[in-house]
Amino acid sequence: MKKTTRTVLAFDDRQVDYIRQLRKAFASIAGEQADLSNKEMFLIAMGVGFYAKNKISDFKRSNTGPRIEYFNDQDNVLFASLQVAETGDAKSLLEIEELYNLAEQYAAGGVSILWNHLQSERDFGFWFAGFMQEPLKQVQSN
Amino acid sequence: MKISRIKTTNFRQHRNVDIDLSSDQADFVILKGKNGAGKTNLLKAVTWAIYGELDSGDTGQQLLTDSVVLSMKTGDYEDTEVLVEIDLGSGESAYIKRKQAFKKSEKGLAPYGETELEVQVFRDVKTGFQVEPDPEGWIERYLPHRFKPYFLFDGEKLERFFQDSDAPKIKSAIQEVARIDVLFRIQEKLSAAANTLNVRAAKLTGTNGEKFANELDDVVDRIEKKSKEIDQLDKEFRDAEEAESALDKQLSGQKNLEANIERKRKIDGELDKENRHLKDAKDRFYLKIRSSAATVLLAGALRVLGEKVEEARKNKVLPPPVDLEYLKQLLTTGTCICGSDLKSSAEHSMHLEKVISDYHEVGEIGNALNEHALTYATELSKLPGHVEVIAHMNSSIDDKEDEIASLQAEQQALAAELEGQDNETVRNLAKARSQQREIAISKQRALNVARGELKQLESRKSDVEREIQKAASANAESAKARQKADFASKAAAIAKGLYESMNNQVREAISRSLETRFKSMTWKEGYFEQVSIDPSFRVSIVTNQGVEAYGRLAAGESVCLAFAFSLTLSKEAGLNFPMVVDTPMGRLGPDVQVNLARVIADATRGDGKNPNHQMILLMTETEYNKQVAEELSSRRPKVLQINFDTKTSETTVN
Repeated sequence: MKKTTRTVLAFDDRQVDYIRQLRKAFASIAGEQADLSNKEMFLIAMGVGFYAKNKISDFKRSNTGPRIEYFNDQDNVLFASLQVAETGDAKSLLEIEELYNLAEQYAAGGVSILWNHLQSERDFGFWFAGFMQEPLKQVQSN
Repeated sequence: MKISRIKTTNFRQHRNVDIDLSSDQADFVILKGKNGAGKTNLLKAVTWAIYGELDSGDTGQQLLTDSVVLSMKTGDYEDTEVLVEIDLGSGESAYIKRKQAFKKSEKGLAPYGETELEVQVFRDVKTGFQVEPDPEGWIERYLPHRFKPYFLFDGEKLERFFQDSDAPKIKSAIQEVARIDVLFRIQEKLSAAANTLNVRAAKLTGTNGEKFANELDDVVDRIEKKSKEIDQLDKEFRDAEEAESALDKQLSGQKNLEANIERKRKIDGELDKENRHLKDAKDRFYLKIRSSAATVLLAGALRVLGEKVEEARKNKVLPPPVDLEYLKQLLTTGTCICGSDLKSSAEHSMHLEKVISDYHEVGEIGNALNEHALTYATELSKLPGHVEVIAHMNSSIDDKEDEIASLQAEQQALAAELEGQDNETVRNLAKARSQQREIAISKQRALNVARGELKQLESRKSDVEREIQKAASANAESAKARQKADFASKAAAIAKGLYESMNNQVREAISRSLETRFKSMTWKEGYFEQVSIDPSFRVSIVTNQGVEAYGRLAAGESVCLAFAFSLTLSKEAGLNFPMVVDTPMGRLGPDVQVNLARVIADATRGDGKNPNHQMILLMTETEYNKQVAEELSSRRPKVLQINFDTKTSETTVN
């Protein structure tokens, strides 16, 4: 496996404000003392982007994002899954830079979707719960 | 008995009104008019003519018509006069005329002299009208004052008729029917005579007797005081009960307002609690969805990774089950553990080198996959648990939302019912009612104590009387006085027994008759099971569910009960007195008005034995509406219109 020198997974530079507001929105739907960390925000966005097949290829790296050291095995398996599902080849797991790039692009795609709904939905929490119904059903049926 | 004419001269707003009700049709009279036309003043005129009474708050000066007062000069005299003619049946009739003169002085208007009452009775054509020497006595015989509340009604008060006419008044009316007051008075006089004779007998026996005489005097005095105290306590107890009942009526009359306010308060609290629980449940739900979102959304990708891991496992591209470092060590030493030569370029050596080389390349991918092999399986196995927990949380939220919706529906219904009601007023009413209840309880306790004391005094009186009897036997004159006292005591006891027995007989007869009549009048057929007047002269109405309904009757039912009681008294007293009712349906809803009109028409209709019962209804035009008129038409009522011209101050009735 090729080594990486990067220390963070970055958000798209154009989405930094969106991220801030999305974190607030996710915190408010789950009540007091339910702040959402950068890491959690990144993973949710990445999941949404992947599920909706929406990645932003012309990703522009910002200075903000979760530090890689904060991701644990449960998180890393999600990056690996994303990479293998995207390429269809287990060898791609050896390209760690590509793996992180892909994760960042899907996260940016997810942020874009979430941001649009945060803007348009009166009840963001209700919308998000509705959005999750289909993937939950799919899990149930498998 | 019927009122056949009402004539007023300068009575309040009516300067000259002469209403002829002598025709046969006048059994049922509707006198309709707008508010202010003078209907109530006609009722007041009849009341004043018969009893000389005015409403509380009315002054004598207000009797004289305002326009007449204005036209009077200082030193002028004017009269107010009302004549009520009564058809007594069988060709007999009478008129009652009451007159009051007024004089205007520099100080203002004042009654001049006493009120004059005249009753003239027509018995036959030979004697014509004859002046009754005792007009008040005549009125008391034919239209007893104690019956006044039962034939001259203010309809506005009908709804709380039995609160106003509670036990003491019912007792009074029933005694009037029994006509046994004389027995009560005889009993009182005989008891007093017996006491006097006992004291005399005691005094005649000498020093010892003197002592008993003094004690008897003292005991009788204390009995009298205690009886007065009991009467006063009884009155205070009844006043408190009446006040409580009136407050209760006010509260229950507002569609159980008090209970609804309490229920709404509880629902408000429950809703607060449920909404808090719902928020907590939603918070937990969103937190769960949030924390499991990435795994759920990437479940498909996890499965793809899983497939790659399993495929690699199957194709043996995962790291081999031997340690490659150990193989390298063997090559370095040049000998295998089986003894084969592993020197460079040896055949076995080349095989091992190839394996190490092959596994070196495959191992990177294998290691990469192997790194996630355990975690992906764990994450996938957790997914059904996430789904189950989320589904359970969602269902719990749905249940809570249903519960809240149901509470909100009830809250809205109660709010609509309570709209416009002043909660503070209701709370104050409830507080006042509770205070009245406490007063009633304390009075009742005091009453029980006083009655116990009275019993002791009466017992002591009997003891003293026996002592006197013993002492009296020694002296002939004293014995004679004692004999007389004995006789008076026994006669008083008999009179008392008779009085109580007759009272009970009449009460029971009226109670039965009231039950029959009320049941026949009410439109809730079969709903009221039992109507009775108990020995304390309290009315009880029990429903077919066994619930006491007295004091909780609907407005229309209260009015019905009032009519039923009046008609019953009239029949049992054998007087068949006319009934004059002002605004009988003013406070009732349209449906109840129609029902009441029907029962009044039926209940006052005569049969083969009894003539029609005269009913004079003073109604507003709103009350005498089309539906009510239709119900009353079966009685072919005489309908008169009363108008008052404010410009000329003249009243017309036609």
